[in-house]
Amino acid sequence: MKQTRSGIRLISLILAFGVLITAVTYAGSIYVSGRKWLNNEQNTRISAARKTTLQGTIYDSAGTALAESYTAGERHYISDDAARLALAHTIGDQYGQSAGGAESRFATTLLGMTDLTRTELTISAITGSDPVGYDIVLTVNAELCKYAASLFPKGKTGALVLINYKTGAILAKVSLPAFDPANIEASVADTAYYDRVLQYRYAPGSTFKTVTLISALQNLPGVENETFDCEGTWQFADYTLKCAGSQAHGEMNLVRAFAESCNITFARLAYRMGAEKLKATAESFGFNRTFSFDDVRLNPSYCLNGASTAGEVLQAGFGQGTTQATPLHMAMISGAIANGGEMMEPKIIREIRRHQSGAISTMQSEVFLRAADEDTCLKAAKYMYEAVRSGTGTRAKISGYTDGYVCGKTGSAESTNDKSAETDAWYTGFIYGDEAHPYAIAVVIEKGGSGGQTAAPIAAAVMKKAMELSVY
Amino acid sequence: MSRLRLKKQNAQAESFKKLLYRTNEQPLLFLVCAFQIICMALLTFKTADGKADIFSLRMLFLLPFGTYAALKLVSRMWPIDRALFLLTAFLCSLSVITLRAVFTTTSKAETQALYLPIGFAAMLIGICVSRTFMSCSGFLRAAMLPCLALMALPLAFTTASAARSWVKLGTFQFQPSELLKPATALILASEFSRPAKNVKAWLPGALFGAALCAVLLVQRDLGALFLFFILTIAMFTAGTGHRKTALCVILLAGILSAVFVTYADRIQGFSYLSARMAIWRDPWNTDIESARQIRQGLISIASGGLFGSGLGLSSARKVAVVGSDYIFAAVSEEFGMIFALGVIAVYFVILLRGRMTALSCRNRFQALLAFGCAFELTSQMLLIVMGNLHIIPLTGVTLPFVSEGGSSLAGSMLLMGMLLGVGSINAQDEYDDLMRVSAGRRAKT
Repeated sequence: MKQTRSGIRLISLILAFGVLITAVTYAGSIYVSGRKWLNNEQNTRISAARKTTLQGTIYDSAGTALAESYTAGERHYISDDAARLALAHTIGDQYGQSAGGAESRFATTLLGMTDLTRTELTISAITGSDPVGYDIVLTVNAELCKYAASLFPKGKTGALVLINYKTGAILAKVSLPAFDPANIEASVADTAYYDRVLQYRYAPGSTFKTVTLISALQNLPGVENETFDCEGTWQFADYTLKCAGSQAHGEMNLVRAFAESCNITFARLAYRMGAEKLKATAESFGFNRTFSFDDVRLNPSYCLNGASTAGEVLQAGFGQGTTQATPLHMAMISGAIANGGEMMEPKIIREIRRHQSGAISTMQSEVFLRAADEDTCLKAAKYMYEAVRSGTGTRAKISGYTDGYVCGKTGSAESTNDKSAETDAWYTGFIYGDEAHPYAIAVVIEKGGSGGQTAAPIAAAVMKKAMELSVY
Repeated sequence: MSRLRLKKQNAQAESFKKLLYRTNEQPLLFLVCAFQIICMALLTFKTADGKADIFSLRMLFLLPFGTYAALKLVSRMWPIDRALFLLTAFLCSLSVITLRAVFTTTSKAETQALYLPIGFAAMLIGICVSRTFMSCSGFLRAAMLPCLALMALPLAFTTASAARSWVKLGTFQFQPSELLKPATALILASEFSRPAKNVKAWLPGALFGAALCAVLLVQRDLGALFLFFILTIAMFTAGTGHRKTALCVILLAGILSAVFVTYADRIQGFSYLSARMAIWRDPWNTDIESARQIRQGLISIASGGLFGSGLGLSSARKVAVVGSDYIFAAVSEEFGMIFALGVIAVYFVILLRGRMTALSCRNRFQALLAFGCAFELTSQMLLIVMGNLHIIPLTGVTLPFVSEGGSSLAGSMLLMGMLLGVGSINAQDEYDDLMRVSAGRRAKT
């Protein structure tokens, strides 16, 4: 009998523990993932609520209404066609076609489907008026986005993103081709609903040399004083590596190799460090991991993995092979270098407001990760400054601007194995030492040719415009 | 002994009786009735066409009246644990209320309301059964074979596509595994409480449990299989005290099922298992259409927020099989997380009171029986709630008392009845003790 009692006590305890775990997991998962579950495209409650709720307004950072409703069930978008198309992926649409846009991602906020509006729901049920959702103020500037989209060469697709590297706020974001939120039935290009800034993984090409550079500065002592020799091509076992146009850079130090974007030197650096060290540095910058940010759903970027071949390691040195990154992630890497190694979590909501009334929550900046130490970042920033001053990125210079230093790196990435195809034109960079304009940028123009020729001038123009508009 | 003295003694006995069953049920009775009345009043007036809902109006009177009458009837007959009874009544009325709120056009709530008296009868039977069998018996051992036959009965009714755990007799159909839960608890309590300590004493019980599991494996009812397995293990551990043996069996079963799930593709009829596992690993993968149920379930649970959407205002209908497997999602969405946590707490109280009853039993059979009943009810709740919350893979078992369906309600009510019956025997034993002590004291003075 005594034995039975102790058995009963033990098993009851285990079961009681199970009940406790269930209750805690229940509350915890609602707290952690409840919003994610609710804002899922499959939540039919959202489309039902859109018919009966007066949806909140979406504003840009300058206070322009991007999407607004006057009665339940209808939606009006910003009437300027160019701005609407430039902001299409940021605004999103009412049908969940572009799932990353504010209309879908923040649907439950815009519809007021949270517990905070319970009293308002009750009041509206009694008075018979439509329930009202919250307003959202985004961090992006509509005019800047419109201007940035207009700079893309005609017919070219690609992505541009400008962030504030001190706060993590996304100031401008353009993805082309676009769709029209106001006319979702119109036929569009195949990939028009993808937000290239967040969802497309490109080969980053030479812009990835910033990461290789930082890895080399950390892992190869004395590398800054070495001399490198480039003959234009390098045969390593079965692999033939080439610099742009197979042109020989000749003898040079690391600063020149970075500024002139010498592939062979960076492949050699990758070879000397080995896969493990380069991979470790890339991972400290956020490669090979799942992002779970509150505001944006950013696809993961990949660098090397455990099964990488020697050729892939060499190619990773200059951002080819298996290396893939999203434009926003490249901008975040530049931002981290400018910010002394601190990578900020990207934010796109500046404020949530009660409809046409006061703010109930404002943006809180958060450090996402510490990517590298301050000294190395400062050195890398100098290298990037040299690349713009006298290297491949001279077209990124901002005319008449003297308050800070324009630093950057160009890239011309091969997106297919077809050597005759045009390369993707890349530029990523930042403004250093200007408190009022802490901008970091990433631009990619698909099949745009040389990054220095096509992407760098766009970056310069966008940052200049951002200063004129004093976007922060 | 004078007449006056006898009268005085009787009065004393009455006050003892009151002391004994300490549950002051009045506040709880009031709360449960208030819950029933408020919910049914809301449902009466919240209709799409603006007309009052006659069924809800009827239930507004019938539910509290039924609860009150049933409580008075049972507690007049036996000194049962009234708190436990009232919590059961709460869960049963929650079932009718939720079904009515979610299914506005079909008559699921009406059917469920009709099952309630049947459930109450089952509870009375349960009480009588546990008061009849006072210790381990040969009769219960003899009942093993018919039980196994009943469990295997659905196989005779199987068509290739149909579910394999139902027995159909004309329009009437039931699930034997639901009704066999109480029978198994009873038989195992008898087997594992035999006085002898050798292998011969407990082997028949263990074999019976294993045979049940084997039949359920053939029927591919894995949820029920798991429940019967852990029930057998728990009662074996408590009854015989062979903890190491139990642990070994659990480990072995764990390894076997891991292998089974890994190679499920190649086993005839079980290929759906690997699909289930894929769903569990990533329910948000929209390529898997059959993961829709769990996705909609999670969305539904999250939609309730803290305080719920309000009765009849939810969209829980969108979840497949919301009436039985996903009734917890419907409760969460309609009433909110705080209330749903309260529902989990009710099962927790059932477990605690079952444990208390088992620990104050005078013999091993009754202790095991009470414990087995409480264990079965709680573990079944855990299995389905954890499945709904995507903590473990989903299995199609019911939430005791709350899910729709007659077999499930009758089975759960039989279990609850047996638990209440054992409790009533305890109360009487305690009462006899007290009388003996007070008689002894009187004799001394």
